[in-house]
Parts: sequence; structure tokens; C-alpha cells
Amino acid sequence: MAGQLDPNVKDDLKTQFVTREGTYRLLTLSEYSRPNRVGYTTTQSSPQVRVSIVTLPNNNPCQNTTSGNGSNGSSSSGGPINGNANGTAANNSKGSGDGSTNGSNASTTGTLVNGQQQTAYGVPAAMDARLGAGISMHTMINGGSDGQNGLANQIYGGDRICFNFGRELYVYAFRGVKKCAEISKPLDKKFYKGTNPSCHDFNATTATSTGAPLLVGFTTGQIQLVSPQPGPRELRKLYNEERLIDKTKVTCLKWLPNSPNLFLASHASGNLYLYNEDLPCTPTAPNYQPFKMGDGYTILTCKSKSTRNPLYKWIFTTENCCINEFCFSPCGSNLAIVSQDGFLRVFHYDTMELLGIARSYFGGFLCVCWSPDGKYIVVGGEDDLVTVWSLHERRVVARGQGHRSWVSVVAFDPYTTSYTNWDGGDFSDDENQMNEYSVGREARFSTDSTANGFDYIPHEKNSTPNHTRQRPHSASFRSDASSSAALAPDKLAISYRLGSVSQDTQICLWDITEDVLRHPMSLRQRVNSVNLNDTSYMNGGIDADGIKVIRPIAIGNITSPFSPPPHTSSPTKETVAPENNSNSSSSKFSTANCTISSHSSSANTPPDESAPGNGGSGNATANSNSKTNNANSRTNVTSNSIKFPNCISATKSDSMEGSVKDGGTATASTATTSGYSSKNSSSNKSTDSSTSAFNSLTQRFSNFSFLNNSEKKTSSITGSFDATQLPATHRPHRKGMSLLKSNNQTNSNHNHQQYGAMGGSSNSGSGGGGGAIDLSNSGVGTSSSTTTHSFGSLKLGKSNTHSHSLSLSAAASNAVVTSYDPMKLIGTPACPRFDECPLLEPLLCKKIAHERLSALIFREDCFLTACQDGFIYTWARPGYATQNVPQHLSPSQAAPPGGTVI
Amino acid sequence: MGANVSQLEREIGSDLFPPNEHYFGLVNFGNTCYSNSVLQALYFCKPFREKVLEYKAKNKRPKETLLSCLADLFYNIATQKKKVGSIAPKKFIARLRKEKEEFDNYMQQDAHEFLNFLINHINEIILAERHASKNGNNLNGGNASAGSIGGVGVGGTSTASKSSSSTSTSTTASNSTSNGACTNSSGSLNGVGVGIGISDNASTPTQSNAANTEPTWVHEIFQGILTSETRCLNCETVSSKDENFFDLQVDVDQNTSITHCLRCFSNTETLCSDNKFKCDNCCSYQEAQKRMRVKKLPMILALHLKRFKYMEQFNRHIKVSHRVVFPLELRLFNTSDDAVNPDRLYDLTAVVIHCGSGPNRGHYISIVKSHGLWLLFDDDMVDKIEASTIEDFYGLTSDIQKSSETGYILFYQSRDCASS
Repeated sequence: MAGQLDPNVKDDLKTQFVTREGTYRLLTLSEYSRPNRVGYTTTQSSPQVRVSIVTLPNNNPCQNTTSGNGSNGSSSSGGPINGNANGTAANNSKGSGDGSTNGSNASTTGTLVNGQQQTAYGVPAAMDARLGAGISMHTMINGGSDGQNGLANQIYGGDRICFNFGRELYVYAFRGVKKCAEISKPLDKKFYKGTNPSCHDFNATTATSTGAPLLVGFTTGQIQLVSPQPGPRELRKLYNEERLIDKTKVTCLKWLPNSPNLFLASHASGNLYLYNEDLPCTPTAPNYQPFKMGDGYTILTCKSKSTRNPLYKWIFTTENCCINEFCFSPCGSNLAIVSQDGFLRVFHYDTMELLGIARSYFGGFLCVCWSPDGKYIVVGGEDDLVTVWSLHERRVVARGQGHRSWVSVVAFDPYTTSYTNWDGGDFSDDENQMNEYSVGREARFSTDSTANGFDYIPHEKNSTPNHTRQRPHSASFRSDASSSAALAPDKLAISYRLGSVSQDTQICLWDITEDVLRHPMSLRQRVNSVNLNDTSYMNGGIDADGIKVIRPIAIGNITSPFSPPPHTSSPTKETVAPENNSNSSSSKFSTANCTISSHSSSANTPPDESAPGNGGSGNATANSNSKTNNANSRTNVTSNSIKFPNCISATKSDSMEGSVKDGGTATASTATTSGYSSKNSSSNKSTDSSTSAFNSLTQRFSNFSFLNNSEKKTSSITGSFDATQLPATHRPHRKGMSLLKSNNQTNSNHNHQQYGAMGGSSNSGSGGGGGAIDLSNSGVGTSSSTTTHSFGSLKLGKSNTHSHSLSLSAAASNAVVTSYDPMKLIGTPACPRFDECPLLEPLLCKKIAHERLSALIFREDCFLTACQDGFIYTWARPGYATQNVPQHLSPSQAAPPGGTVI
Repeated sequence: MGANVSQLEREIGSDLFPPNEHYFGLVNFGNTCYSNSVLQALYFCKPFREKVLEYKAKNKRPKETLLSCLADLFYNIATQKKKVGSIAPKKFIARLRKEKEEFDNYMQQDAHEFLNFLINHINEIILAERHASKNGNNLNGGNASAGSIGGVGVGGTSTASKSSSSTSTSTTASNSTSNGACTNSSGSLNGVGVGIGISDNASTPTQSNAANTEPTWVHEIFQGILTSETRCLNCETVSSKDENFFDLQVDVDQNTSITHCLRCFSNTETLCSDNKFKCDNCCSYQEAQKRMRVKKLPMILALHLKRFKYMEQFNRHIKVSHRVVFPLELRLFNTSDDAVNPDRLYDLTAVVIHCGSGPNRGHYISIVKSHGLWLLFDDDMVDKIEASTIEDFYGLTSDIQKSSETGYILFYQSRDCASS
């Protein structure tokens, strides 16, 4: 009856649309959904349909097959996992051993193993399992309807797509644009009773050719890990089984970037938990002790004798802070969290420092995505807007208005983001723009260059052959984009392509150009005197907190023209030769203070090579860092009065400050550095020491602590694996980090020395604070001394910062109360007034579904949208569509140049 | 019922139960859920409740009016010994049935029509009493049936009349349009809604003959000002005039947000053909462009979702169950350039929900926010609900189900007044 209200509704769905790149087409045969499409229409209050996708490595299927055959049903499944998953190989074998013995080895996995390996293998590979708390699961793997043992139609490599719908969860082989979906043959389907799956994430790091570990979160709070095993078997573990950790819905689950076993889970309660896959949960409701406090957030650790899950609990102290999504930056070092209270919070993950916040115009933020270069964050929410936030400037730089309802997903399209010096003809419309940009680039980006350090991170990651082993978002970077990035590393993104889908059933595409992002902030002069304090707080608070992390960004890059000697080449980002990458990236990253990468780069290059050049730059940077800490903490007090009519002057004043200081640093390094590096350089003679001092200062060593259960065991393996797998010069920095860890292991003497020195200095320097932390991490593992020492050094770094910026941080903590008040934030960089902010209009806005849209994933040859009715649509990019011919008949025809990356 | 009530107290917890707060259901006297739901929503609009109780305190022995009955009812709830329970609003309903014959039956009534009537009527009572006390007996109480007026057109325009509360004229041209989109009064059998939401401002005419411009507390709480800008396409002259409103009535589209509906409300509309605009400058009817934007944002923003749409082919009103999401927090995009407080931040405080398949069948309930808790009032039943379940009241994305529970009137309260 009501259908006749809008008789034209049915016909206005778009199946294709044109942008300047060409025509995007809906591939009706590449449509994924639950196999049986009838019935079950009550989608009203079921969880959002989300999509996870992973690209599996395509090597060595034979080994898997044979060993999989051999070990069916047995517990000796350590063997079949091929070398690609070194990180988890040991863990998995251990875990499965526990599973088969029904958790007798409770010390390692304990109560977690819940699937109990009930591999009713052979007969339709279906199984039931209890998930505790009245929840049960029914699984059918490999299309059990075939009645085969599953091995015959085991699919190796390729892509896996997972989506939830109601109480069901499906895994399919994703065939992209080339083949039609076989929706009657899901690789895995699970039905849950008593709960609904609400989110999931594949671990791309430990993916094997047969599958990838899949985390599933539930509306009732539990988290399940399903690790594929050869054959129709799988290993299941359950976390928060008795809901002792959190009773509320799991809202987002993500593996830590490149981590085999660490994952973060957010809940509707507003808490965020870090788990280690291998650790048991506490048998009772966990007791926590504070680990770190910050502006409006507290991080707790589990108070128990042995290390248990959750390793950390993040609490945010605003009302109604249900975390809706979080996302790691492409470089893996920053974490963006959006929540129902309308806040975007950006953290440097390893240091747990709050880098900045943004506030919605009104209502909750629902989704978040990093730009491919890590410079910008886009959030969408209940104000129907997409909001662009600049990491570099810590402010909302633009808003986009085009949706007719809440924005449920935002995603950057890394393949359509245009860069300077792009010589592809696809973007003729951009030619003028690009010329303009390339001409005026030097001037134009002189300030912008500060963030360039981040620009390289994804590309360098992409330039490695195993870039597919990243987490799903970045897994979709295509190789030719990355290779061209490697060939032309001087590219700057000048136009970002952003996609957003909404509950209004529409998809919007946006082009965010640099001229908008560079929009002068003259309008922002409207800041009134009442808000001035808050404005200054917003910047000042960040200064106080993220001092190590933030200011050097501006400093390093501004200084590089001023003081070329310490750096390998003055406009480093412009003229980097590929073989120089490690060195140049070191200077870049260290200046940009993407600290982990500076680790990697120094670790990547052989010590004797890196020592003169790299160590030198590291030295300079470390000194300039520590210098600037002082400089900033000093200047902040004074410059607060000057610098906050708007942000530009803020960064300017800081960078000038930094450059001046940096000039002095080269000579007066030891004299002026505040304790830690001088201690180090006194205890250790070489320049390496100051590099590591820098590392230890800026790197979050807690990483080591919770990594070490697995990492300690496998780091040497991982390191060697990395070494064999990767070209030595193109090592991605995260990989390098694990390599660094192996270096730490192998060169433990050296490091211990340093850490010892650090620890010593921390004792002398910071006094009290270190004790509790040492205690909390004392049970971590065999090499706890390293850990505790590194914590000491961390503490030192913090305490130094704090001591120097004591007054400021005190002021900041006082201001916390008001800083999260949206009434006070309006008109500040965190939430400009509506007319103060450039307003973008969508490039395109199309209604593509009848139900609200719930997922959007860009891939090389297509993009995927999901709908709340449980359908996942594949849209071919221009030139990739083969929909005119029956797709399954023309596999050869459907292979455009470039192909699907595996 | 008794078990349910005590269960509510248990659910909230005695230590968490807000002090000096009472959650009392209202007994249904036969299809009076339209009244019960609106009364609960109004009771939990803090500024309104305070003013009503203040009125009660000031007028010890008033002549019985609807306002005095309402004040008695609110006072009765607020002074209950028990924290939870139910109350029979007998006197209020009796008085209501005397006041307005449309309500003097046991038929289904439109909750918005009731709200509209109630607010206007209270305002008139206050004005009348003020006049009576001032000895100037300005009789304007007869103008009670606000809902049935539906946008009286007074010919001519008053260009740029800044004296906001004095005039509420609307052109004859726009009047016909507003009638077309009007579903306000259940008796109005107008054509199919045109989709462009012109507020019919049924509330405003009642003040038109109020001589004194001093606002009442009803004005202070509910009244906002719309400015209607009309640009004559012939002479390009832009004329604007202000209109008061007590609530905004917005058309609903499938799968949209209330934000979008409000933006559509302020979309530019072209007045042409039968609907031309009488331009003072040209002294003739001309085609014109018109848009209405909010100039003064009220303390409590009441949004009426026009979910009852007249369908010619059925010769009756049917319910539009479209899914329209409404956030817990709201700012307006459709403010005029000279708006005083364009980024006023609102919090959702109450929602009147229509349950059922059509305007003449169904039920009204309301959900309210009180001290951070969300409560569902279903006549004499009170339940605590989770904020996450509010999404159940957004509406339906498909037309398969005939019955729906959909938000019908939204009450947003300005945050800056909440603290003061």
C-alpha cells in the first residue's frame, strides 16, 4: 500500500555512473549475499552489515594441501602452516595443541579455546559449537552441501570477503570483476544463536594461502577468533567469553598493523581494549590499575600476576562515548577513534599521546578513514556531513555536504587520488591544476612540506612485494600505483578522491583538492574572546601532550632547507632516489618524527652504512627533538599569547623557533639535550647511541612489552623472513621495526647497555613513576629486563617532557573539563562554525540501493558497497567492466592490464 | 502494572534514581493516548514544566482553565510521594473536552493537533489573564481553534517587518501552497502534499490580534521566528517578512535525516502559475522565488514530521512510515543570514511516537530523556529503555510491514538553556 506512495522509487537506482575517469558499472554477477535470499527480512535493528576483505598470499599451495591431508583431525597442525606466517606459526601450533587437549595447557591459552576442534570432518563439514553465555554457533565450511571433504574445492590464494548479516556470517572467495560470485558456495558460513556478529577483521599479516585469521565481534560483547586450518578445520578461540571484560556490543575490531597477534576491540561502552591473541583472559572480572592519564582519557592495565587479556583498557571520559569506529593511519603509528559523543580523537598509538581532537557539528561521528598519505582524516556522522581534519594543522579544514542522512562509511580511494607529476593521461581535467601546482609547488608547499614525511609511508609500504600483507584497507593498494609511487617518490597528493556512503542509500564521491585544504583561515578570525582560551588550549594542550611528536614535524621540515648538512639532501622528499630510500626516509621520518620509521630505517641499513650518514642525521634529529621539547615547552608559555589568533601563526612561530634552535643544535647537542641523550652518549660512545636514544624516547616501548610473548620467540624468525622476503633497500618500515626488534635481540648486549643507561637515568631523573609500570610488566616474559628498562626510558622521556612543560601541562589538564564541551568548542579549530569552514560539494551523488548502505571498500579494479539488506555489490572501475558478456565464460577477456593483485 | 512499576525502580536503581524526579504513567480514558504522550513529553521539557509549576504556585485559587488543570496535573506528579506509579489526568481530560469539541469524544486524535491546540490555548490563557489583571479586557480568547485555521491568508505582504510578533501575514499566493502541503488539521482534506514543506504556521494567527507585544513564557520557550524571503523574478526585489512559529512541520522523505528534512523545508521554491506572488514593487502578481529560513531559534524546537499524507486515490490520509533518523543532538543548517544564534545546539529531550498503520488507527507513546535516562511512557506504563533502541522509532525502509512505530513529534531543547 505504502509502496504506491512513491511509484518512481523503484526505477531510480543507478547501475552505472560517470566520472571524469570514465564509467563505473555495477557488476550484477559479482554480487555477494547470503546464499538463500528469501526470507529473513527483519533488518530493522540487526547490526550494520560490514565487509572485511583480505588478499591471501598465493604461494605454496601444494605444501598446504599435502600436509593438510596428512594431519586431518590431528593436533599436529603446526607443520602445515607455511613459512609465510611465521609470526603465528608457533602460536597456532601451540593453540591448536591446546585445543585438542581441551585446554589442559591452561597457562597459555586456557579457557579461550572454545571451538574445541570439533571437526566433524568428512561429512558435510558442519559443526556446532557453544560460545558460552547461552550462545552457540553452527558452522558450515567449504560449502558443506557438496558432501566432499572440502579439500577438493579448497581455494588457494586470491581474496576472501567476509560479511555479517543478522545472526549470520559468511566468507566467500572474492573474485573481483573477473568472475561472477558463486553465492551458493560460501567458503564458510556461521549462524549464531543468542547473539549477532557485529564486526570482523581479517589478519592480513598472518594470512596463508588457505585463509586468514578472522576476528568476529558480537553484539553481546564476546570476540571470537577463527583461524583457518588446512582442510575443513578451523581453530577457534573466544575472548571476553563470560563478558567479564565488557558486556556491551563490540563495535569495531582491528588487528594492529602488521601484528600477528595483537588486536584492538572497541565496545559500545566507550572502552577500547588491546588483546593478545595468545593470552588468556582474566578468569574473573579484571582489576585494572592506571597506566597513563591524558586529556579526557585514561589507559589502564590489567592488574594480575601473569599477563592476561586485556593488556590495556582505554577509557574516554565523556558521556555517551560509544566508539563507533577506529582506524590506524597508513603508517601504522597513529590511531583515529570516532565515537557517539561526536568526537574524533587522534592518538599516537605507541606513545598513547593524544594528538588532537575534532568535534562533529552535531551528533555522533560514525566512521573514520585516513587519507592514503596519512595527512588527513575524514570522518562522517550524524550531522550528514563528511568532515576533513588535518593531522598537520590539527583542525577541521573542510566539510562536505551532500548526503541526505547519516554518513555510515567514508573511504579514500587511493587509486584515484591524483598526485603531482602524475603523467597518466587519465586526469586531463587535472592537467592545469597540476601544472599550476608543479610550478608553484615549492612556494606553495613550503609549509605543507611538514607533513610530507607521512606522505611516503604508504608508498614505501606499497613498493614492497608483500604489501598485501597489510590490513584490509591498505591491502587494496595496487601494485602499479605503488610502483609508480616508488618511481616518482616526489609526488604530493593534490587531489584526494573520497567516497562516502550513507543511510540515505546514496554514494557520494568527493574530490578534495589542495586548494580547499590550503584554504586560508582568515574566516577563522571570528574567534571570539570567550573561545580564545579554548582555542589556545586546543593547541597548547596538544603542545603539552604531543610535544615529542608534534612539533618536530614542523621543525624538521622547515629546518631542512635551512640546515642541509645534517640531512642527506635538502629537499629530501623531492629528490629521493629509490636506492636512497632507507637513508632518506630516515631523515624524513626522523624529521617528521614518524618515529617508528626512523627506527626501521636505521635498522634497515646495515650498521656500518648507517652509522655515518644515518646516525648523523639521527643524531641531529634526536638533538633537535630534545631541543625542541625544551624549546617548545619554553616557548609555548610565551608564544601562547602570540600564536593563537589562528593556527598558521601557531605553526609558524613554532617552526621558526625550531629552526633557530636546530641551527644551534648541531654544535651544542650534548650540552643542551636534557639528560637522556647526554647520558647515553656518555655511556655509549658511538653516534648509534644517540640514535637509539632518540628511538627510545619517541618509540613507545610498551610495544615491546606486549609483543614479546610472541615476538621474542619469533622475532628472529620474522627478521630473517623479512630479510629474505624483501629487497633490502625497500623494506617497509613496519617490517623494519620487527627487524629492529630482532636486532634488539641479537644485539642485546648493545641494547641492554643502552637501556640500562636509560633505566638508570630514569631512576635518577623521574623517580616515582616507573615503579608501577615495572611491576605491571614484570611478568611479561623472559626478557623482562629489557622491557622494564625500556619502560624506564619511556618514563624518562615523559618525565622530562613533563618537567619541562610542567606549567603548560598543568594548565592543559585544568582545561580538560571544558575542552570536551561542544558549546565551548564551536568556533575553534576542532569544530569551526558552519560558515567558517570551506564547504565541499560532492563530485557525484547517486542512489544505488533501496536499503541504507553500510560498507564501502575501494580496490584496484573495483569498489564494493554493502547494503543493510545483506547484499554486497561490486562496481567495476572504468575499463574493468566485463559485464556485457557472461562473466564466467570469458575469463581471459576479463583480464585488463594490471590485473588483480594477489 | 504494579510489578512493572517497581521493576522500573529496580532497573534504575535506588541510588541512581534522580532525586526529586517522578516517573508517572497517565491513565488512558479511552483513546486519550494522544494527550498522554504529549503531556509526558511536555512534562519532561524542563523549562515548560518549571513554568507550569510556577504558574501553579502563583495562582492559588484560579478559575478553572486548561492551564490550571495542566498545572494541577503537573503539580500532582511532581509532589507524589512515590517515585513511580500512575496517575489519572481526569480533570485535565474533562476540561479539554469542554474546551474543544473536536476532542469531546472517544475518537482517535492527532497528537500534533493536540499539542498545537494546547500550546496556543495556554498562551491565550496567559494573555487573557494578563489583560484581565491589567483591566484592559482584550478579548481574544475565542480564537481557540488554532489547528483548524491552517494558515489564514491575509492579502498583501509586509516587507521586512521586523516587529516579529506583531504580524503573521502570509500572502494569498503562498497560502494556497501551504494549504496544499498542510496535513496539520485532520479535517483538512487538501490535495496531495506537494513535497515542499511550507509551514502552515497555524500557531501564529492566534497572536496576531494580541495587542501587547510582550512575550509570554510560552513564547519564550517555544516561539521561534521564520523569515520568508521572496524574490520577485520580475523586478528582483527581495522582500522578507517574519513569521512566528511554535513548531516546524516538515515533510518526510524515505531514508533521510531530520536534518535533511529541515534543509528541504528551507529549499527555494518558485511561485508560479496559480501561485504567483503579489509584488508590491511591480504592483502585480509575478513569479517569484521564496524560501523560509529560521531567524530566531526557539529554546525548545518542536519538529512535527508530516507522516499523515492525503492520498487522492484512497480518498483518505495514510501513514508515511519512511525512515527518518533523528540524532540526539541537532544544529540547524537552515538559519537565515541574520540569525541571532545560528549555531545553537539542541539536545533531543522527548519524542512522541505514533504506533500503527494509519492516522485513525494506532497508538501514541512517548520517549523522554530525564537525567541521562531514556524512559518510555505508554499511557500508564513506564519503562526504562536504552538509548540505542531509539533507532527502532526511525521508521521503515521498506513498505512491507503495514504497521510501524515512528517518531512523530520531536522535542529538541537548546543546551544553553539547560544549564541556566
